[in-house]
Amino acid sequence: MDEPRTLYRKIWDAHVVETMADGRCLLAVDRHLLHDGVAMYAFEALAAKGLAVRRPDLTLAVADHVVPTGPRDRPLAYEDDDARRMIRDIAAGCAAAGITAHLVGDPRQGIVHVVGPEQGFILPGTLAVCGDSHTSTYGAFGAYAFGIGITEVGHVLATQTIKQQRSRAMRVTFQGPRARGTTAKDMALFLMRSIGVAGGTGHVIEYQGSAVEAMSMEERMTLCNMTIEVGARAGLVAPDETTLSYLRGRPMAPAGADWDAAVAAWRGLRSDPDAAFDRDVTLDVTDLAPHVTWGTNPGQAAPVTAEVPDPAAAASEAEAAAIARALDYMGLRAGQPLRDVAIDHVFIGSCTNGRIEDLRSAVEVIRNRRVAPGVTAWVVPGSGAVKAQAEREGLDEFFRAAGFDWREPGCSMCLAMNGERLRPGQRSASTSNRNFEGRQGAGARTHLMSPAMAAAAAVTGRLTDVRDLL
Amino acid sequence: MQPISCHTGIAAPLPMADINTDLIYPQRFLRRARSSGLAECCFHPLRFRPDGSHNPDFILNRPPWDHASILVAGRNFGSGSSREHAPWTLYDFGFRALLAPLFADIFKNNCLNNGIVPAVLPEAEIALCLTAAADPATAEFTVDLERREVRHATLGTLPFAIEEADRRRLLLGLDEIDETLALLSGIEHHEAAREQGAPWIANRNRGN
Ligand code: SF4
Repeated sequence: MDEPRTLYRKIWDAHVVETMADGRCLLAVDRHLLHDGVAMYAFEALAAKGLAVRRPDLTLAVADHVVPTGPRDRPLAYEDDDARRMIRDIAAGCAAAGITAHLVGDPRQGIVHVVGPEQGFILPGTLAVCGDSHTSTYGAFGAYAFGIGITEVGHVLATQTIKQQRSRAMRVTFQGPRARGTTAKDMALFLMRSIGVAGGTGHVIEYQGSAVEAMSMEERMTLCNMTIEVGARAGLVAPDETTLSYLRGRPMAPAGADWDAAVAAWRGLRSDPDAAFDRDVTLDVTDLAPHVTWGTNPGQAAPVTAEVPDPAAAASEAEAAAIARALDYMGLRAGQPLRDVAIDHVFIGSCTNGRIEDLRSAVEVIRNRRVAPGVTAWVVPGSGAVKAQAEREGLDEFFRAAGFDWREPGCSMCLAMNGERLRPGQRSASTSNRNFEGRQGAGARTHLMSPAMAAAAAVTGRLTDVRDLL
Repeated sequence: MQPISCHTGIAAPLPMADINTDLIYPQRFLRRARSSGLAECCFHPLRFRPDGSHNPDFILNRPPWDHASILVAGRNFGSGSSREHAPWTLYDFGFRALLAPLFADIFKNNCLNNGIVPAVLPEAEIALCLTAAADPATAEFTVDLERREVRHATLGTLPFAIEEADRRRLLLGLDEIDETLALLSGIEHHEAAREQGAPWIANRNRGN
């Protein structure tokens, strides 16, 4: 009998073209996504070698990183000529190569990791790459998906393959049910806090357990998106009925006989019952409280009901120094209740939490409430399709009525690469994925949380336990 | 890419864990052309004060470490974003080898594509290296990729870990694209076989 295999191993085996002399495997790439932040560099590298894009049909491009998210009925306020050049170069490169591109002006434009899945471009069992670390998002579909550097983007464009060594397999089991007010984002932050920001390095994580099975595709994407924040190469959830009903009828999803054949094959895409994992972690989310970050990496998170940690209580000297440095940057005092921390800005958006369900869950909290005085609150839908859907449901009206700025799609203040950024010292409640120093602008302070928690912070003006408002 | 086999130079100690690529190369420089030279962006938030002046306390602003070509860092160096600007800026600053107990996956791979040696040493030995590097008298290190060892006047010879495939890539400095294109018929064969068994892979429905 065949040796039992993990889902990761099954996808891996199906993509090995050849084993190289140095032990790496040459893997076929089924889906490649390009964005404005890397396309300029990659097309330039290809041109320098006089190479063409080998499989434009397996590539999808979007503009998101440098695109301003202000009103689209006037000229866009690009940060500088370099940003304009990035937009020009992705458009020109894609047109020349024949790559499907959803750029500025296209109603499908948006954040690469929102657009790829919602167009049906990402499918179970595929190998997908993109020059962006949050490519791990697509693991929600049972795709093996990971971020690559710019040199590798060039390699994929030229060859439609990637060379890699197999990672170890790790299983994270979330036991539920999940309590009301607690979201996929809280589960992700709980995982970071539990295993640390290097806890997944060298591994590909498969998520299992009742709390994962119960998740929607949007929630699975949030969880897999944040998987890179524990250092893992990728996250995976085996496809099931939830996956199929999400994909059915999407613009780029297979149709007709192709769909039937695909569904039949996808049913076998799961880890065999006796498959061995190199590492197993089990987390119980039954009593999980909503989480916020207090520090400068996503693992520096705590239940919102907790206090700011004390460096003196740290397990090691190095840990104490790291906490002290984070508190200094964040302007927080040890022992201070997290719920006392006042915020200046709210950002609801990003590839982590800029999808339709995220906006719905925020509206549930802000409905019939107002953004607190002195707080600036933004909603940046993850894509044009998300924005249109939200407007069909009237969500934009609730946001506007509460005093939110309802914006156009893009990465915006997740990375602050498009000219939209906070001032030094400003404090933000953000639904994005990284609270690194300077991430939302030099000197800016970021607290990561779920959309519902960010909405609660918007209306109270401080970090708030959303369960008190539900 | 330039092959690299053995490098001797000044090592700079950076005794922090989890240094992310936002800190190595902040986002506001992410639109710069590679050819413009990215050395000045390297560790910008640490090297410069908010007003733009040099931070004299930061190690890379002080001799002899302003000419450092080896970096000794804490665990999980290069975490976060996949931006290849991180190894680019390190390379442009002059770094050819990095010593740490653990490197983030995508960053490590980007180093291998840019001729920078990511050498893994145990936590305890990194602690010794950090101390030695902090003293100008003992800041010179040799990183020998051929022999997989770090050599130092007082610490002696410390073996380091690197995957054999990674070591070969750096030593040979081969162009990965050329190497792969030599296998083109195998790639085409694999694609054809896969699309036969899994026709939906072909992405026929391109949404236009
Ligand atoms: S939203 Fe943020 S994390 Fe996601 S792709 Fe854009 S910049 Fe990267």
